[in-house]
Amino acid sequence: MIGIMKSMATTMKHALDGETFTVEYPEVAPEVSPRFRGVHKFSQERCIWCRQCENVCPNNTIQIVQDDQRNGEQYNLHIGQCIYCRLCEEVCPVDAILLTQNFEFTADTKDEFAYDKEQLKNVPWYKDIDPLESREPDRGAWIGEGDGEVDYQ
Amino acid sequence: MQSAPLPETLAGIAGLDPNSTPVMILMSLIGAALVGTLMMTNTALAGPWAKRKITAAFTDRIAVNRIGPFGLGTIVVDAVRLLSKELIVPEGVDRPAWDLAPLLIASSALLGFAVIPMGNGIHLADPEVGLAYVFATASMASIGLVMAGYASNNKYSFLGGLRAVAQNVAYEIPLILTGASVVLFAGSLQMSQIVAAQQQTLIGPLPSWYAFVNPFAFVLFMIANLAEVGRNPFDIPEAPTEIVAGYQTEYSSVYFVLIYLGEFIHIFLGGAIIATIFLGGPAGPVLPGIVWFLIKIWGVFFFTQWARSAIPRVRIDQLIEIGWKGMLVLSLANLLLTAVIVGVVV
Repeated sequence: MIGIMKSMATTMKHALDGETFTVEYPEVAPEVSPRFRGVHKFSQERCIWCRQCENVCPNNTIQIVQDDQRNGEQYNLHIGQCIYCRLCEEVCPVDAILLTQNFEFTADTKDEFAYDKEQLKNVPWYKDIDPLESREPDRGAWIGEGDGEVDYQ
Repeated sequence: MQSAPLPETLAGIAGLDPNSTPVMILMSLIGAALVGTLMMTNTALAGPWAKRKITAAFTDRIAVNRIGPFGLGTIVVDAVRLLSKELIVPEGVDRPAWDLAPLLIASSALLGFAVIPMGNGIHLADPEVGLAYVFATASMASIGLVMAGYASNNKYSFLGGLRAVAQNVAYEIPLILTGASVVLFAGSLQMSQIVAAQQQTLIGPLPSWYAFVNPFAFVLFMIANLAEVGRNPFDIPEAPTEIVAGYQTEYSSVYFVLIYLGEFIHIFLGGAIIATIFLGGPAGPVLPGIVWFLIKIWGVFFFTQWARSAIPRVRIDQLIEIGWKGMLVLSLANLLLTAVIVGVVV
């Protein structure tokens, strides 16, 4: 009985203070976590066409087409199929691909989610957030010496 | 607090003879339409809009706000959306019962408002068995529930109907026993008498509403009423997040609207009963009676939504246990104590 009273008091307190968690999206841009993983951005200047991202991708989202000389021709990515595991970004030796905070992409059909390298290059930053800034420090924990505190952030 | 029934008032306004039967039949129909429209308006406001807004306030959200001011246009949009959907009739349903159940659920609760005094002369009829009549019409919804569950030709609906009826029977008895304790105080089943008995003051400015005279009965009645109208924490007949709709699984479109409407009219009928027998009916200072009456029934509706966002749902066995071992014993004790107090002290 006391518990019920307490829970009713708590809900009433929340009703009276008038705060809301709701983000009214089109008018207000929602805050995303620095570690949020959104649509990819691709840099052709950086890419060395090593195809590691294509290999590591767990569900064959990335497709790379090369010519006879192993020069890169196409870099296609099916956003609608991506599970945002960030393995492609992890494995890339030159940071040519990274997942931005941008989640604002829509399409009418499934096929429109197949992005080629030009589209991936032109993915805008979300609110000018550089995703690498929030992610780089984390990697230190992976190469810890094995003694002292382990920082799992 | 003696007010002439609404049909006679209407006949007086129209300048017709209140002693002729055809005039009274016509005026009763008009009065019934007025009262019905008033309650349906409340329900329309509560079901698609107020319910969402209140629950959202309790859970720190905003709820509907896109259509119209404060999202009030949602009421119209929801109505159009639900009415324009296809009415799907599953194979092998027991057609007459399946068609009648939503009508019965919606209309049984509306019938109860006939004897509720709403203030300012809005009082359709005042029979001597008013309270018994209200309880009788309110419990008719149980038949609708079991009809809906049985006729759907669906085992889940059937089980849902049985659960609903088990719950309604378990909580009907404490409800009526607690109502009977009020009858002992007032000495009459007549609604106008019960309201009139709550007019004098108790202590200081506090009126002798039975909620103040016997708060224990009031709390019991509120809890039993929650279960009776199938609101949280006793909403397991439909349990939207767990068993998905129970007895109304197969209903769609207009029939769903009728069942949903019936549920909300039932809440308001419960509120009207509580307002009449515990909160002094339409009595209150300054404002006209009908406004006070509406404030009181909306207060009860607000309470049901409050309980909905604060209290977790109970299991069916816990529900039956609370009903038969807790509420029934407490309400019997309350009735006996009231009888002793009324018989010995007063």
